[in-house]
Formats: sequence, C-alpha cells, structure tokens
Amino acid sequence: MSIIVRRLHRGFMSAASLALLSSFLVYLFYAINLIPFPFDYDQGEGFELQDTVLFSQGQLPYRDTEVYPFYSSNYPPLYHALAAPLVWIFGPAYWYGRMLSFLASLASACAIGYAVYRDGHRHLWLAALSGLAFLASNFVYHIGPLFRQHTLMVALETAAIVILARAFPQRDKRAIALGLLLLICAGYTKQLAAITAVAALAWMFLRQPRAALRWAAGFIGFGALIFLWLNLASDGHWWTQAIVANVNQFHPFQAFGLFVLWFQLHGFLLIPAGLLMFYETYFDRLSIYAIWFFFAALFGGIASGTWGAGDSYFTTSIAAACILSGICLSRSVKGAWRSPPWLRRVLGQVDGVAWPILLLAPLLYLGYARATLKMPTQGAFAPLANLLRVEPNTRESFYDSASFDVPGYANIGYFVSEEDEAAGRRIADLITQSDRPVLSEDAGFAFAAGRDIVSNPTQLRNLYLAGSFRGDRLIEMIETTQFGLVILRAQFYPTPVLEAIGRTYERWQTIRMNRFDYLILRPKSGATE
Amino acid sequence: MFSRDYTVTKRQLGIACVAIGIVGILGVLAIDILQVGRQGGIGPAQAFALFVMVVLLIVGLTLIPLGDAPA
Repeated sequence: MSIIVRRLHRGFMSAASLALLSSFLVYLFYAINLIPFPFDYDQGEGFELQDTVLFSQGQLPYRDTEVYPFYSSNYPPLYHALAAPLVWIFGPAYWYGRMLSFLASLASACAIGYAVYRDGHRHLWLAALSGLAFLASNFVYHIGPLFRQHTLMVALETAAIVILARAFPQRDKRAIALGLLLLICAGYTKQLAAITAVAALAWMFLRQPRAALRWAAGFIGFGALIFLWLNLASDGHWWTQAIVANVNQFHPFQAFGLFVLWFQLHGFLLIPAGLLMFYETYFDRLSIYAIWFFFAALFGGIASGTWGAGDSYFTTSIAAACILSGICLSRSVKGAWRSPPWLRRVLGQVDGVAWPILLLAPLLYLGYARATLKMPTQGAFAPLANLLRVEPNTRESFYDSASFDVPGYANIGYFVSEEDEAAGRRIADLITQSDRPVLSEDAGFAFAAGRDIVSNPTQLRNLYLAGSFRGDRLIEMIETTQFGLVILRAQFYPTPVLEAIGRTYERWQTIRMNRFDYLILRPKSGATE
Repeated sequence: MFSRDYTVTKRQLGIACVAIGIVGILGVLAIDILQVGRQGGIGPAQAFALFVMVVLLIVGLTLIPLGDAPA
C-alpha cells in the first residue's frame, strides 16, 4: 500500500472526525441551551413531566379522562418511573428528563461504537465515527435532549441488540436473559420497541429455532404479566389509554416524505449498510443487525406516517444503519471479508481493492456530515455560518439541511432565547392571576404557576377519534366558564371541545414563545358562570 | 428438525419469503375485491405494501437456489 494512500486515508479520516465532532458540538450546545429551559419546547414534554410527577406520588397516569382533571397518559411507565425519584429531590422540572434523554442518546452512540469495534475487526477510529454518526443525525438531534421517552427506548433497544448479537450464538444464558430484559424495558419505555423485539426474536429463530422458541415463550410471558398487572392496577385504563388511544390515522404521504428525507440525510450510511445486508443475505449468515435494520426501517418508517408520529420513528433504523455501515467499512478497510471460494475467484483481488476503500470510507462519513449539517446561524455561530456560507432555511436563526416542509419532520431544533423564557413567564403569570383552573395545551405554564395539570389534548383527541371519550363534563366546565383561561397552541383538542371553547371563550392575547403563537383565551363577556 | 444445533437454511428462508410474499400480494389485492363499495383503485399505502411483498417474493426466489447454507 503506497504511503500516499495511507496519508490520504489519515487525512480524510481526520477531516471526517473533525466534521462529525463539530456536529456533536452543535448537538451538545443545543442540549446545554435547551435542558434548563423551564417550559415546553416540544409539545407533550410537560405531559411527560406530569406522568413523572404522578409516578413520584405512587400513582399511575392511566386514568379516567371523563372526570376532572381529564388527564391521562398514552405512554408506558419506565422512563417516567426512572425519573420519578428526581421529583422528590428537585420538584417538577424539565431539566432532569431532558438530561436523561440526552445521556441516553450518548449511551446509544457508545453502544454503536462498541458494536462496530467488537464485530467490525476492532477498528477503533471507524467505531468512534459510527457512534458520532448516530449523534450527527438530524432526527437524533431533534429528539435527543427532549423530555420524551423515545431516546431512552432507542438506547435500551441498541444495548439489547448489541448484547444478543454475541450472547445468542454463544448460548450465554445470562447475557441472553439480560438482552431480552432490556428489550422488555424498551417496550415498557415506548410501544414502538415491539418492532425491535420482533426483529430480535426472528433472528434468534433463524439461528437456533428450538432455543429461540423457548426464550420467546419466556419473553412474551414475562412481558404479558407486566401488561396484565398494569391493566389490573389501572382498572383497565392501561388498555384504553396506552393501546386503544395509540391507534391513529395513517397518512401515507407523510410516511413517504419521511422515507425520502431519511434517505437524503442518511444515504451515505444507508448504502454501505444495505451492501452489508445484501452480502449477508447471499454470501454469509444474516446478522441480528441486518434483521434489526430491515424491520426498523420498514415498520418504523411505516409507523412514522401515523398521526402524531414523525422523523423520530426512524431513529432506531439509524442506530442499526450506523452499526451496519461501520462494520461494512471496518471490514473493508481491514480486508476482512468472508466470501465463498467462487466469489473470491470471480473478484480475484479482494485484498487488492482495499486501497480505494481506504479513501472511500472516510469520504462517506464526510459526505454524511455534509448531508446532515445543521447549526444556529446567529450569536457565537454567526462567524462560522458566514464562513461556511450557511444561511437559515427553517426559522430565522437556524439552518437544517433537511427539507423542512416534509410532513412529520420536527419543526424544532433552534436554540431558545431569553425572550422565549420571558414569554413563558408572562403566560405563567396570567395563570397565576386567575383564580380558576386553566385549560392549556402545554403543561409547563401550569407547572410554573403551581396549578393543576388539566387534560392532555392529544390524548383526548385520540380517545375521541377511537370512540373512547365523550367529554361531557369537560365541555360542561368550558361552557360554564369554570376555566379562568384557555391556552391553545395547535388546537389539538377534540372537535366538540374546541367548538365549546369557541362558543364560550374569546381571544385575549397572543404570546409568541419558541416561534409558536400561544392563543390566550378568556371567557366572553356575558358567558355563563 | 428442532435439534439443539438445527439452524434455518437459505432455502427455507427463501421459501418462507416466497410464501409471505404471495400471501401478502393476494391479501393486498383482496382488500379491493372484498371491500365492495369502497372507493376503487389501489391507494398509496396498498401500492407500497404491494411493492414490499413483490420485493420479498423476488428475494425469496433468489434465496432458494442457495440450498442448505445457513441463513
């Protein structure tokens, strides 16, 4: 191998490392900026905090939504239960939930790097790039530091898959049990992990059907017991709130748009991942990573088209793609392909083609870093943005290389400002001045004002569409103006609730926070009290 | 078949993919046949499902000749 090629390889690897580290720094600054923000950044964060508060009080958040405070959760309990002890110490706050999610995203990146290192012939540098590639994804960036359970689910899934990849072929019973336990934990963090569980069990069946069936029986039995306990402990509300309310309308064009965007942003990783999958399908044994990638990309992608879903549903497939592409490139750089004799005869000089790979591998990561470029364009980032000729293409202060108008793509990512926090405080002050409970689409303002968290609008909407919510009492309270204020951001409430609000309340103020307009409504003069 | 060291072969995986593909294609097409009165034509979700099933069928057919190689 010529010295020039090796030097070029190191140069490109260094450039790729620099690019992905820069991307990580943007992610880190974004997290540092967002974590202390005391209000909702992504709609729904406050309701996850409310779930956490309820768990800290020893209560389940799966409740009857026909009675005051009309609140229930549609998410499994693990993430909130893990954060619940922090409520005892710090009281209700957003920062620890966001910190937990952010740390989970770092844990996923570490698991990815470890998998590539262990199963990709111990190429440390490419393993590190694979982990950084996960954190560089625009989809991971959006969801990573939010008070949402999704990132923890991905971390648990990734850890489970990495453990099972080695444990199952080696018949290491303790490690298999740990891997499957982590999968159950992932499922009870968010229901979407069922896709990964099916993928893992399918791969286990391919390898050793008899052992797979035994393990699957235990896995399903244990998971079902937890399910039954939750349903009994919540008087059946677990089924209605976490299962029935999660069956939402499917929008094929949303899924299609997100598939296209997923490929545009991650194509530099998806192609080597797909090549390794093809190789394993025809010339080697299928790895758990390949099966996981297939299931996560196909079914996670389809699920992204449901109402309320979005780009984050691809995060699991991105973790799998980072592992597969990392292993593919590591094997290539190490010249470690296992291929049948006839293929070696056809190709002749497998080792001889390794030198173009030495250049191609880091170039793929460089291309990926460019494809996923995102950054603030103001403040301390302005000189760099000017240098790179990056102009905001989403909001006035943020550049995101993705097509921002794809339905389901998160319209968050910019850095919050002091003005945003001041706006949140103004809304919270309005609540404080009211002597009655307040109906708000974001829970953060009520938390700041020390008031009841009343209703979970998207949950009520989903229940209403599933025929499991009438809302008579809520509508009665609205029509008799028992709420001092109504605060709307996206008008997620069921149509009859919105109609009742429209009949009884009128717009008083519009306050802009996080680039969203919050409508502050107060009772119409002359409305019934 | 279910001995301790038994493993699924490429051929068996191929046959399973072909079977799922055929059943899936028939199932997707049956939606239009069985749901009389539904607005006609294959919608985008059906078209996507059909595409996936056809790909699965083709992959299955190409796996069958690989014989007893472990999947």
